[in-house]
Amino acid sequence: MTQPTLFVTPPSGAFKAILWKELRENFKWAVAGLVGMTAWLTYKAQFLIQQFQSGNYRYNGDSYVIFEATVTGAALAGLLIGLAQTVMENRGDKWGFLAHRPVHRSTLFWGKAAAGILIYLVAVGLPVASVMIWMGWPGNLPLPFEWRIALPAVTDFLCGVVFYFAGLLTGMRDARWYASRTLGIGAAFACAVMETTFYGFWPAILVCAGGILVAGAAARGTFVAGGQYGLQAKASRAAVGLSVGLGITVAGIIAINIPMSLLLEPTWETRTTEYTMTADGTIVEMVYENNRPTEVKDLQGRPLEQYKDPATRNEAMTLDVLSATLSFPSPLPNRWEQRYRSTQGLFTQLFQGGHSSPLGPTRWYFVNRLGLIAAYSAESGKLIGWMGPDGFTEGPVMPQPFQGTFKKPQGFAASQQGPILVFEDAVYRLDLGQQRIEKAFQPRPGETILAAGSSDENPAMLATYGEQARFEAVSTSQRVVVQLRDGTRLLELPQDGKPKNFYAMQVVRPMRAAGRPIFVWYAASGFGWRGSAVQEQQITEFTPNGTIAHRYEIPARWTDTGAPWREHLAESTVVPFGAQLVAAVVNREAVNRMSVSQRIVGLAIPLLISLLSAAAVFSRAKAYALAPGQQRLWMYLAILLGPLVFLTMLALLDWPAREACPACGRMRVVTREHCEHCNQPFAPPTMDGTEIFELT
Amino acid sequence: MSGVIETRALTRYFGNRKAVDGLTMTVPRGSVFAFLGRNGSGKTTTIRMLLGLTEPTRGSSRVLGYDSQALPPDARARIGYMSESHTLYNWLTVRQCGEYQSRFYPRWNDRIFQAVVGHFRLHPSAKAGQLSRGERAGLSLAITLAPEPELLILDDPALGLDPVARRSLLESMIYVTRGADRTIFFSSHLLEDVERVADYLAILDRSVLRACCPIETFRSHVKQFLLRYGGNATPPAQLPSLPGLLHVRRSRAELRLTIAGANEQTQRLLRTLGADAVEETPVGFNDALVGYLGDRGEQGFFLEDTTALEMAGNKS
Repeated sequence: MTQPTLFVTPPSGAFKAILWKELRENFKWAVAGLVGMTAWLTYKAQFLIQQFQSGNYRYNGDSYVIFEATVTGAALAGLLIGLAQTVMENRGDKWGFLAHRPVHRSTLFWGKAAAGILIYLVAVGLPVASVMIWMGWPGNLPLPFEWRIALPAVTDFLCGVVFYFAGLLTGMRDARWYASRTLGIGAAFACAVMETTFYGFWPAILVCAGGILVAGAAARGTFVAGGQYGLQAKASRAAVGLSVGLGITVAGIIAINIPMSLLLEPTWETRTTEYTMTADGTIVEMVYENNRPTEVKDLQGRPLEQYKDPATRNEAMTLDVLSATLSFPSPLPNRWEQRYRSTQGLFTQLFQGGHSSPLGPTRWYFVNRLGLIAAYSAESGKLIGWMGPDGFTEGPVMPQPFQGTFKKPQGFAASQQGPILVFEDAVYRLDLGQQRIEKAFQPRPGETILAAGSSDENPAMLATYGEQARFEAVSTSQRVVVQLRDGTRLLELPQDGKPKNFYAMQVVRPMRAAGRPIFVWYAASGFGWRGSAVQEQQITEFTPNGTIAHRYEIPARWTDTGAPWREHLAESTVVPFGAQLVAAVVNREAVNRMSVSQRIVGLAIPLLISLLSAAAVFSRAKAYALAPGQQRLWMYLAILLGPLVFLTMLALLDWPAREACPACGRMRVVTREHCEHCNQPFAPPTMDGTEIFELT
Repeated sequence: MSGVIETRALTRYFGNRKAVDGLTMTVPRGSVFAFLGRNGSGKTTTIRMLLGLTEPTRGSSRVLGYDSQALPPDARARIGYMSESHTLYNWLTVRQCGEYQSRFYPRWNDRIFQAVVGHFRLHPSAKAGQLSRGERAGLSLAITLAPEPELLILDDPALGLDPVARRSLLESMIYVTRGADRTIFFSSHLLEDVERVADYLAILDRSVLRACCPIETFRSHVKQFLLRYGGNATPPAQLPSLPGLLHVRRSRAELRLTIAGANEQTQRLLRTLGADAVEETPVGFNDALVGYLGDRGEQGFFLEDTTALEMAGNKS
């Protein structure tokens, strides 16, 4: 019987041989990773199915349940494979056995790396690809799967390659484990943060490619130099420096944030303002301190005593106040929805009755690409049918799609909560439970719909006020219409162009107020928004017969004078001078809100810290006789980035022993052939009279 | 003299500890060169620096005419290296070890590999991890010798081997490197092996090179003198400064001194020590090496016991 040749006979050629050796030696990690990753992803997929079936889970647009496993799993697997390939082989005789071969060390490195990436491909690529195929397989998940959903898996996989090279770097780098050895994963960590937060797929791919370039160059340079920093070429030294510097930054952020959050959070003072409406139809200013309402004022700034008691305040604010909110399309594309890690740009899950109501066994999605509503069974995970403008059709055959652009509501998780569906050319009223659809509003010829909203379904209000408690508001290119479900017009106004300047509109009906007025309320930044600035707002109060009763204008203004001193001092101490300068240029508004003394302190403290860091760098560089060019580079960096650079310098450079020079008595480094102070060479070892030399 | 290995003030620190101090030596082409020293004297560090596996703190070394820190692949192909731990990939079989190594060496001679493997009676399908220490040494030697290296650097190759395995190792080395142009540079603690095969030696004492010469020169330079004291005379408690003094052994009526580079002046000094007789006694190569490698000066360890034993012997 002949033995199989695969993995038994080394292939010809040095590169292939080292690849073969690495695969044979480390393939166990591929199997371990495959098993571990598969188990983790299976658990997450199972969790996702259970959540869909439980009836309480709402798909929020981020496939995070799976992708939190792919990003962490890929990073962990990459790092461990890199470490496994180097830690056991980078010192002593094992290193000698590997490195003393008639091939360039680069060849050895790339052989190792090629094997490592193949192992990583099996450990991570296979299970991730499998779970993506599983997600897309009909009947597994009750949602309209598109392959774009799998894009985060691609970037997570690539980010894992960055971690793999970071693992090789960490395994090879000549540094102490309890000191700076692990800091080499900094570039990979930064890459993971950027990859998961960037909006675009291609920018995320570019970040990963950059990460692979930096971590790969650092790992290669370190391997070729046998772990030494000083022996590497400039480019790989820069890559190692960047990796370790980022590692120190991450460690520093963690180290600083923990005590700062403990020390500063309890006394962090915030004062914010919000305008709202009371049950009797009065517009009031609510002042919050540390997120607790502390004051209620009228529009002239006078305190309103009747709302002083917190027990009665909430009721007085919300009782029987109905509202319908309309979000106007932004002139800029909604980048959040377009994020490649989100499905919000692909489909929108539709809910009936808001987020608090339990879901039935059917999941409804408006699919952008198709212009149709898809219905999926949460139990079987299969497609039930489609809903178009003409009604519901069972089975896979698609009906006629909706026309015009879908006006996706802005706000919480981009989910359609109300009973209406808005397009440029029509507003539809949905009853998903009954699988019914009807047209609620049809614009005139030449008129387009900008936004529409509907009041919440509230059984208590319906019982009290009947059909009056259900209304819809539509803003078109020509007019604003407020109507009851049965089509009765409550208000019709000509379009005044405000949607161009405001982000949202709310139609508010305080049902208990005298005369039951209708308020049309525009806000610059949406409703429910609260911050250190008051947004511009314009409110018009109409009587039931459509005449204007009042106009209110709330101008934009800042409600605080910038960060408090304690926060300001902490920030000035921690954020390096260079970053402060950039922040001052980029965010001039924040600077303008500071007092003069805060501005001076905000630059003086970081500058002082940077100068002290530069002095520490200079002193160290002088003591260890660094070349003048190197000294200058480290000092400039220290002035810009402060202690981070000093710490990076300590972590990267070799710090050789120093001895007193017998000629001049000053301490000199042992690495130089001549004393850096008096230029005397090192004396040969002292003879003791027993020497026998005949060759040298 | 131009040598296959040349070092100049080669120095290596580990932290503040000096592992190799200003090593300057030349290894002649075609020599079998023993590199000796006690544990921790810097032999392995020197070998790693020669192969570019460890960076010197200062100084330099050249091997086959190339800077050790930038040995090109074709130079590495001409240097065989065997480490003291006989490193192998444990999961490879004997046959696979040979096949794997052969992929890197254009001049791989499978006949030599098979000969050495056969000499050590290694089964081709035995895994390296299951071999005995001696067998590992044999396999390690086989893959080191098969590329027919011009220079063989062996770091304590016989460490931990039984006498039969040691003999096999030496025989294999000698058999393969019998060509005139081949050089062996090896470190060892086994002085008999050194005497058997080496024609040059270098000795490191606490990281400093103390000797570098042909074996014969070393043999002729290390001498032992016996100073006998009769009657009530006893050896002086304190010896004067004697150039080249390596080792002193003292008993009630005798002083036995091992001296490097003894000359007429040394002998004149010895005669001033009040002994009845000063005799030069023959010293074997092993004793000479032990004397040279041991601590310099008078030995204190077990000194009193030895004296007491000798006194007891005289009484009886």
